[in-house]
Amino acid sequence: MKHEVHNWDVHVGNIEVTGVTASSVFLIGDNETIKLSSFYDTPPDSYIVGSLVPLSRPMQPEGNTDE
Amino acid sequence: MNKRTAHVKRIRVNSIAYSSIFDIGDVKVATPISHAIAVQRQGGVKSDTGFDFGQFDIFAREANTLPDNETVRQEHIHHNRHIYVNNVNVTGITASSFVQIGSLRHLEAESRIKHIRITEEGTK
Repeated sequence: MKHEVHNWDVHVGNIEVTGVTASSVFLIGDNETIKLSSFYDTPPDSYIVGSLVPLSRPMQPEGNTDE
Repeated sequence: MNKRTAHVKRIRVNSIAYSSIFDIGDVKVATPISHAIAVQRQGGVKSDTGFDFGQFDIFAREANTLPDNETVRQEHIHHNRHIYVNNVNVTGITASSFVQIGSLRHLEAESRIKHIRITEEGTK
């Protein structure tokens, strides 16, 4: 299979963007490869009640909180 | 990679921060990476000590990026390689982001963000 692309010109009238953040891309034009990867996690140590700041790594075997 | 000529009439960018790129023109390869830790504490955060990337395994985890597949045989023919931009208005480009008018061959971006909320004891 051969993928053939015929491009003429690109006209952009009006674009309004509030924010482009966290390794994102806003592109007007050609491209070959785009690889975006993002990480998101909300484990228990993301929400702390009280002045205990912050807990150590959750996977430590003895689970002590003082470094 | 076929180059393109960009004709930009008006573009307004309010702010570009934290190693971000705004570019009119062609780019071969771009690999922006951003980490970030966002701490929100009741009563305000005085300093950023005590929150370093080594503590949380999200920043140590291996990134499983997609394999690059060059299997597709393709041919791009630019009959008219111009880009005409009348008006673009961008308020913010932050955290190693990329705004470009032109051709971009390869982009591989990674972002890891961890939000932490700290509330005082006993308050609902």
